[in-house]
Amino acid sequence: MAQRFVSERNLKFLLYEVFDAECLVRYPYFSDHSRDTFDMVLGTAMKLGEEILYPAFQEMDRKPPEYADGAVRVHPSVKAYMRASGEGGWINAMHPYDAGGQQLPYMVFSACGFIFCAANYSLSVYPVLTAGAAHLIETFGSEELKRAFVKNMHAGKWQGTMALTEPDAGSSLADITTTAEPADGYYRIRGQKIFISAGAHDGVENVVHLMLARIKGAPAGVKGISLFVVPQRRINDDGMLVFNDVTCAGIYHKLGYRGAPITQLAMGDNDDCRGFLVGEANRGLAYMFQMMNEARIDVGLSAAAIASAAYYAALEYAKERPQGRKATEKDPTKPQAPIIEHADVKRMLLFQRSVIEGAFSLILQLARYTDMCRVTDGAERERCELLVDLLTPIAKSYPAEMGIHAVSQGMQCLGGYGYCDEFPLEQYYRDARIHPIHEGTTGIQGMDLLGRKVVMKNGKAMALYFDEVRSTIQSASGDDALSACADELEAALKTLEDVTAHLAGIAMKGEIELFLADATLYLELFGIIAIAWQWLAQARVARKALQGNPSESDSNFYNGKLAAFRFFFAYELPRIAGLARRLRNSDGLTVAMKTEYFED
Amino acid sequence: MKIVVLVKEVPDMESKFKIIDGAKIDESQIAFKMNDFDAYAVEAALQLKEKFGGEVIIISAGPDRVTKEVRQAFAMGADWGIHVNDPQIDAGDNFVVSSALVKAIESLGGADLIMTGVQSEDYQASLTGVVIADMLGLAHCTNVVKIDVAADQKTLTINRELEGGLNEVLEMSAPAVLTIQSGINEPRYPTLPGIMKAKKKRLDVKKAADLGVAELGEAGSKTKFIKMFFPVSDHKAEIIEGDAKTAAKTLVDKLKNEAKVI
Ligand SMILES: Cc1cc2nc3c(=O)[nH]c(=O)nc-3n(C[C@H](O)[C@H](O)[C@H](O)COP(=O)(O)OP(=O)(O)OC[C@H]3O[C@@H](n4cnc5c(N)ncnc54)[C@H](O)[C@@H]3O)c2cc1C
Repeated sequence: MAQRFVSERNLKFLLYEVFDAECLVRYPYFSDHSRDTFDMVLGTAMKLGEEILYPAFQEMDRKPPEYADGAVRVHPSVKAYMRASGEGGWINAMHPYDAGGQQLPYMVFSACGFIFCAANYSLSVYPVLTAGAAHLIETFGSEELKRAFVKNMHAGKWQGTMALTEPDAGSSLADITTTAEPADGYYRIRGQKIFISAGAHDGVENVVHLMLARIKGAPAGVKGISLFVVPQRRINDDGMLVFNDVTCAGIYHKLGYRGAPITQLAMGDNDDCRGFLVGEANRGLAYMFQMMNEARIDVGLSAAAIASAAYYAALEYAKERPQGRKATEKDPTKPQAPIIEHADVKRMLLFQRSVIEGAFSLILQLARYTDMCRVTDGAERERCELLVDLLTPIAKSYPAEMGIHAVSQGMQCLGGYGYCDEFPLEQYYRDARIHPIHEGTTGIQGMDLLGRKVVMKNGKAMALYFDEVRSTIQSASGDDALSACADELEAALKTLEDVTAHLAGIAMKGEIELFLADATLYLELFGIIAIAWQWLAQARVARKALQGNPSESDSNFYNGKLAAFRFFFAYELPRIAGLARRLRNSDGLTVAMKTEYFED
Repeated sequence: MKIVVLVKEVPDMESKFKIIDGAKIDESQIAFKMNDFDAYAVEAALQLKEKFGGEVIIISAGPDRVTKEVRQAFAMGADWGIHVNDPQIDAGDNFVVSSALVKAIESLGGADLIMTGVQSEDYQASLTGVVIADMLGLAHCTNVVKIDVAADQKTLTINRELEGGLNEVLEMSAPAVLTIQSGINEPRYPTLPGIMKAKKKRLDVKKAADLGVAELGEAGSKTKFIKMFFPVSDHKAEIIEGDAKTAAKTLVDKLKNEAKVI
């Protein structure tokens, strides 16, 4: 049997029992679906995970991509998986039928994505990047661009990328310098990009970069950025693929996530790189944000998924590793106990679960709002959109940051073996570390949340969010076993309101640097409370289910849920007190710190 | 070609098995799936259809939940199916189930090829294909690892797997029954468009009465079920307790007197 990397039981609990994915089929858009189709889709995803993705998990790390003479050789499973994703209809699964898709709800697709990422994160990214890039062309590109590129991308024959970062422009995309000069029906692209995931490889016939560049004479800053399709090989008049003067100058050697190359690209070395404008000039960053927002939620999903795989590896080990005896056992001739019987090991396992299942629940919550955006309009649609916008930085950063801690605790469960490469924990640890960095660092997410999302539309999104959490609190407060935690969550919301008002006061005074100085801590505080909300929602469902006389295995499952829920409220939620204390103190410690003081 | 594939649902072998009253498995604790060997049969049928045209018809006997497995075969590309759904049939032995499947095949006016997995993962009787061939008066071949169908769509060249890593090659002619061994091909994954189409494909539900099956339940069976149990292993390991000296003494004593090896 392949190593277990997810709990299907948990995926179905969240999908069907907590988020009622089946309710979507009442809407005409999703009406061809049913629980049966959802289950069959999930079952197929599990098969792909077990049979294609997981078997290559370790080998892709040990034999990372190789660069030679401008070409990048990747593991053979990349080609197989891209093909399976294309032929299986996974790359455009959520699209409408008339765009070749299957109108699959985002919730179900997210559960599949969780399976793929947990099975092999590096391999999972290739089709996901392609889907995002193709979606940009479909949404904003001309009919001609769609015809030329989208089909082969959906078929998994051509790779898609998002090409934003440059040597002098990472977090600050306003500073990109790649240029685009109008020519006859296209733009001549010149410049350099770095860190571009899957930017060149031999698992596909062609790579299509969705690239940010400045049209000559465009205004400075973000207002002068445009979006281009820049294929690695362009189609000439005879319909042949020919070199488009995009050269891969090298790949980076990285800590983890080694199965996917990040490339350095040079455009226009021979002055013959053609780019095709997507949508209107100078609106590129706004367009790109569509893809980036999806990608950010996806990063959160992947982070939780890697932590899930680490958890199941740690769990298996903890059940089998005999070491030490119970504190109460004084007889040294008695056999040693499996470490899972030690309270401290149980604490580590519960911590992992509380992070993983809480985080994934939040991801599905966002997926649910997104699905509702599809089938509603007017005020309800706006409500869902605002909630997705507000919660995206949380859904990215909480799993990204806490996923690392969860994997670390998984490694801790294995002791010395956790640190050695006979077990997968060290790889999960390395793989997980990327998530707070790409798609906007945690620092950038903090500023996005506090500086933009919380205040957008005069705080409307924030007010809607509070309503959402309070409605969960209300529905749980009638249950004696949950009411104490419901009260704690209410108190936590008050803390968040308080801290937010305090910070808003600073912003009103125009002290913007001070206002944003601890935005990362604000993000952390907000995140912990959002996960507590998700746990209360799960606990409510578990409590109800336990009253219905479930089978033995279901009863174990629901009791496990309640234990993880109580753990989160007992061990994690209290951390907000320290964060709130710091956030309420606006002494400007970091702002005042001088660069010189860091020396020696 | 008109190809019938018989598909059976089996418990996922990773499930926790519990026996109720020494008579049956506690199904509430079990996840079900398509018999792996049958997936190879479905794939083999689909490949022949791709080559020669025609249709692939799935027949499965079992309770309501079996539709899941039939639709799985539909999602892979099979055309339509018959679900033999009657507790009276499920309560019978292999002979009863095979008789019902034969009636279902006859209701189609026969087929060019009938394929099954070589065995089911749970009961491992390897009987259904053979019994059906006998009842239908057709040639059959078991343990099939390669199928070549000539242009006339009648002449079959079949490789069978034997023990000792050997294969034998036989020629036979359609109509025939083939029981398919694992590894003959790589069963395709259902595609998402396939899954959506599967929902809409025709699945006829038939009771014993609809098919005119006379042999039902225990009465129609050729064998009588007595009980089901987990065998207790005769080989038991014993841990000898105590300090090294006493333990060694006990060990020598046991080797001498109980095992009688020294
Ligand atoms: C494995 C991997 C894959 C990647 N894939 C892609 C890809 O496919 N496409 C693509 O375009 N890019 C990709 N990137 C690039 C990635 O998005 C950037 O690395 C990231 O956005 C950070 O930019 P940077 O590396 O320039 O760091 P910097 O922007 O230099 O940031 C360094 C540190 O400074 C902080 N910082 C920066 N600005 C501020 C500020 N204004 N206020 C406070 N703190 C600040 C950051 O939070 C961070 O901690 C990838 C990177 C990696 C490592």
